[in-house]
Amino acid sequence: MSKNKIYPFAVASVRSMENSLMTKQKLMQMADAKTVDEALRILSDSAYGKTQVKDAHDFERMIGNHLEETYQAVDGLIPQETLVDIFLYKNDYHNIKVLLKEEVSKVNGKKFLIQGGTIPIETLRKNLRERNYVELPNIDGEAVEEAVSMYAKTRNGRYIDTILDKACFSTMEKAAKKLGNAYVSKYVQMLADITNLKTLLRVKTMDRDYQVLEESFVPGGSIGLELLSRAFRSDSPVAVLKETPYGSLCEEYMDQGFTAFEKACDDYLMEYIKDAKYKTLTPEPVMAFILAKETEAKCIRIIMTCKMQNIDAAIIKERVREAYV
Amino acid sequence: MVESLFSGEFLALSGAAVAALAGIGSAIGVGVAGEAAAGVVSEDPNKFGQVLLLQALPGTQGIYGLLIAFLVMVKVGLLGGNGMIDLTMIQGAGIFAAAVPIGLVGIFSGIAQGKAAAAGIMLVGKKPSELAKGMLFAAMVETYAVLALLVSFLMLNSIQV
Repeated sequence: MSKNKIYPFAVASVRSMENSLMTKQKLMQMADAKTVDEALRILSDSAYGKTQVKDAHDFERMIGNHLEETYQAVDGLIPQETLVDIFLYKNDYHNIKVLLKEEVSKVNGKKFLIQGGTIPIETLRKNLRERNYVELPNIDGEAVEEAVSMYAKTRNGRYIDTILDKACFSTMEKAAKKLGNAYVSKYVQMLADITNLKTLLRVKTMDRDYQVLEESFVPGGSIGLELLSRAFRSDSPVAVLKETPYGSLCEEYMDQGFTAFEKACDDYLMEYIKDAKYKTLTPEPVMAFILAKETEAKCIRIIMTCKMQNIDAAIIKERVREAYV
Repeated sequence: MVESLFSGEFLALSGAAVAALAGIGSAIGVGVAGEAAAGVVSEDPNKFGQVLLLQALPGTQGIYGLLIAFLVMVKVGLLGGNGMIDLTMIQGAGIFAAAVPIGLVGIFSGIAQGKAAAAGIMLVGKKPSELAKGMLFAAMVETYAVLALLVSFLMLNSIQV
């Protein structure tokens, strides 16, 4: 992409769409709702209300439909497709995971599939069944093969996840490199690093072996496996990670448990995404909008799930992520 | 051949042409603003009137260029019907120099104003009540186009033919 390429139409459309994002106050209001039905009512009043559901347990359908709508709206805005596609690969890989697991377990995984990948689900299903990767250009066929054979060997579904996660991140990294947009590359790198840091903490908290960490390590970040393994073996991982760009993040939140750290990570990424608010003609706001919507959906899922379990509003509020607007 | 290129008449006409080039800036500026305006209208057609105002702002440079080009042509008698008057090379060069400010400044300020107007349009897309502020930001750029117009106009006026 040339450095001076500008997208006034796309950015202006996205700026108008940003009005449909929920503010942090609105999310807090949802968290404060007395009952799950009241929270659902607030949700119905927002942009998610296009799909009306009667039962609060169906809220996932609202989110799914709305996200799909968002992906479609954004997809046509920028002629250069890779720009948006980078953020959709994860949906493709998610669908592949679901389809592979469906294949080996014979359980219908239809409700786990997400619309909004770069490849329509039917194409994905057909070609995956035939193991034909020619028509799946952005999918790492070797990784799929590896995942299948690894599962055949171990009968452990975890390998399908880890191998495909690795493939997803390396696909994103490659696409970002080809695109040459510094904002995107940095984001992909940060995402990989943060994913690895979360894995580290999770493995440590769960007292699992180093091997698990190594298997779940995703490529593309600035923190190498070597440093991560040193952090894993050390008594205080924070001290080892202090020198990385995520030093303050680790120092402040790593000891506070996994939930707090995960929220801090999301907020850290959001802080970076928010830079796009001050760009007017370059494509950053378009990507930021997709990510903002995804974070919003995540928040709503957290709130609604907690509400259904009758969790205290104060605890829910602690878990609500920073919003883009 | 080379001599005719440096004749007063030719230089004066080149001046009018340079002044009209200010339209390049306006065209690019209005184009960028127009794309942004279409983006906003695609989401909310009711904002058409507001964004149209902003889109028109970068168009002034072209008008200034046209104005100076006209003044040059009137000055050299091209529009009078009696044919062009005779000019010395010094006079022609003077007219050419007078047209350069609006020509050059028009191009660049038009582009810059287009970007500011596009940003203003996005502002309206997000907060419709802030139209006036968005217009002000874009109108700031106008100052420099007006200054260039003034310089061109004063120079042109002071040349005796």
